[in-house]
Amino acid sequence: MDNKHSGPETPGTVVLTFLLLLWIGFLYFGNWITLSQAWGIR
Amino acid sequence: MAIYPPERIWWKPLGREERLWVTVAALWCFFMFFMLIGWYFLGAQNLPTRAQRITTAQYKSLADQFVEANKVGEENGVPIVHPQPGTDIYLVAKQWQWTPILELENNKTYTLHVSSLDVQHGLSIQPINLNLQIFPGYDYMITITPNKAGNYSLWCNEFCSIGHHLMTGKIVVK
Amino acid sequence: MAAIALPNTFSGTRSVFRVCPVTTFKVDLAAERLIIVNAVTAIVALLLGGIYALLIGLTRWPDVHLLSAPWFYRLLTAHGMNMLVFWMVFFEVAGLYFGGNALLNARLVGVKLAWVAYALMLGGAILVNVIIMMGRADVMFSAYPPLKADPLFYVGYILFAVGAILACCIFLATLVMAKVEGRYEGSMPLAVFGLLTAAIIALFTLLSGAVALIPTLLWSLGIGNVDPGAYRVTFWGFGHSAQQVNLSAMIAIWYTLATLTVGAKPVNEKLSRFAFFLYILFINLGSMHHLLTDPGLGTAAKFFNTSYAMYLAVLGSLIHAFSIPAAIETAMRKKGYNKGLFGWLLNAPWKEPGFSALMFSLFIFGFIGGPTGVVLGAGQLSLLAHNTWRITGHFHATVVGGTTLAFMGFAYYVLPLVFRRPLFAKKIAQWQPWVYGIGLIILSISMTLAGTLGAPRRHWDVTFSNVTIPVQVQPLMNLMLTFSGIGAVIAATGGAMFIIVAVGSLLFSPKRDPKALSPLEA
Ligand code: HEM
Ligand SMILES: [Cu+2]
Ligand SMILES: [Cu+2]
Repeated sequence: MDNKHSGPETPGTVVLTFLLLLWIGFLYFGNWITLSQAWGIR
Repeated sequence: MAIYPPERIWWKPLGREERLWVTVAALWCFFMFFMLIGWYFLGAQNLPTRAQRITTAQYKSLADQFVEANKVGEENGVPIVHPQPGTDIYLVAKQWQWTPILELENNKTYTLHVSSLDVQHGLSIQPINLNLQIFPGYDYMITITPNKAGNYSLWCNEFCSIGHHLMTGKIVVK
Repeated sequence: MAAIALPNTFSGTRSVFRVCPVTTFKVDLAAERLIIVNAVTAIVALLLGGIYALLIGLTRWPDVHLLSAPWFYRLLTAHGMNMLVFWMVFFEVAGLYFGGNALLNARLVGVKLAWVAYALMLGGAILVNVIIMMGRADVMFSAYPPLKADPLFYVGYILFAVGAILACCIFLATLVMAKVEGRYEGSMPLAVFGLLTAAIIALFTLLSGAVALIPTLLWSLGIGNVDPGAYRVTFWGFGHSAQQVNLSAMIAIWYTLATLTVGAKPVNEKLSRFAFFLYILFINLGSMHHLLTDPGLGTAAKFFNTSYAMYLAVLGSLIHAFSIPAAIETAMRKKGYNKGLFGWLLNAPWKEPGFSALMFSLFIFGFIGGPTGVVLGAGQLSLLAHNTWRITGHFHATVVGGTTLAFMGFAYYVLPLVFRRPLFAKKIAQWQPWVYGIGLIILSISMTLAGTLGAPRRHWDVTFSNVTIPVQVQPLMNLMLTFSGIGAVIAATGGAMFIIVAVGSLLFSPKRDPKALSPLEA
């Protein structure tokens, strides 16, 4: 058991979560761009 | 083991990868928050927040006056109006029609009033896909500036009883 | 099979336990009976909701357009109620009794009250279903006034909520008693901690529901008035927070399934518990994101409630999004699957329905439901999506592809334990998460894309064939609606496979040890 440090090496998970962040960023900015094309509304 | 009590001492420092991820995730969350505020000052599209209470009878009479003053035609029995740019314009939601048909001028700003005469409706302006919830009893005031000429379709996207799918309307930008 | 009777500290009564031969947990037989009835009732609600799902799914497929308009709206109301409210909450109550009793080796406090809670919930659910089918409540599960339903519809809704509040209180009392009587050592297991989070949020949620529905009931009887805006604030205090209950319960189950299927151990208990704690503090404010496009609320209120606090709740979710796969990866690497970046994932027990359900649920929630939710909740972006089919696509990836699928995976473990019968038709079970998961991926993505093109939700005819003012529909929308129909058929098949396995296990599998049924003989 690795009791000294609680953080094991999980490179696969690191890659997956950073892919997730990229994907969220893509959706997020894509939607802002779409919104910016619409009529002015306030 | 998530289904057994943890070891006696379970509050341990985070590992290197966990620290990295928590930091990055928190930064992203703060970024999203500041984006909202930034857009409020810099962006041209924001959530409308002006509204006042009004009875459905009052709203109906305001809208009727507006139609009478600005009517230029009719399509299938629905009046077409062409108001002056910069003025207050009125759209009525009722089971199951958006009325009147509005003719607007491109790049001009209007104060669009919307309210319902019966139940809740959903104003959906297509194809730009702008969507707002409409209540009875609230005069919703929305400042709009169309930026492209063309025909815009309106439909209803809040269930408003059995004829919901019949509820359409139109805005023409010239 | 050993059954043991343990005296209870504060009452003179005795609770009768059996020792589960598989897990060695001590299970209170009174709790076990309640787990069984609540779970079976949940599955009946899922069956009803699933039949309606297929019918409305086929109606929104433009070339099929199965139901008439009145029946479409009626069954859509029934689908929402049976799925979102009855299936979810009955199953969660079963989960609470399982977590609070079996996992802690504890006894159920207030057995009679627990049966009262069940009776209230069952009575409420039956009443709502009957009124809807009589055509007296075609109002959708959200029932926004001034659209009015039969008063009995609200009565049923309220009875159900009161029963659920009672069940949550019983769970909390059980936890306290387990601690007092020393039924477990040290801190409670992480899974129970997650369930505790769910129960705390549920209390707030259900009270908010009562605040929304009681004035509405009075109004439907002709007493007083209901403001549509105030109703929406309180209704979504129920409707949205209920999703956080589902979320917390689902994550508790994710941790549980990771433990059961690959022996994963939470990487850092502190971090995972902190993430649950963020939910308790902040997630209730998220309900405001249903109201972003409503008239009558100010900018500051909208931004604080949806964003600042909600993003801290998002942080909680991002933490779980790391901890759970990390726990699985660590466990698999320890078993020697160390090859490359993803060797641990490729060699995982994909044929194990509990594991594939866990992974599909993680994927669908993590990569579709969660990210779309973060985008939809961002203030101004709500303008693009409010009430379109994007919303429906989003929550079919959260509560359907995520939570429901996690519950199904959990059921594959719990049903054999509490029924004391082996799983029926294991081959079907093995493929079920795949069929259901793939169907939902197709369904939710095509709903989302159709909504991006403007498709409205809760809508019988997106071809707008009989309208007074003709409208233009984007051509691709029809294609997306067709895909959604195909996805619906596949997902409904997956749902039916689950029902076959669950009901089959109860009816057709041989009892493991008939003696164990009767505690007196031990
Ligand atoms: C076999 C799987 C399922 C299929 C094919 C399916 C399909 C659908 C369809 C086609 C709609 C209609 C949307 C509209 O017209 O706006 C819908 C609505 C809905 N579904 Fe499902 N569904 C499934 C499972 C579930 C589950 C398991 C839940 C909840 C846990 C759920 C919750 C809902 C809710 C809350 C609505 C919205 C009702 C409303 O707008 O009032 N569905 N579903
Ligand atoms: Cu309408
Ligand atoms: Cu409508």
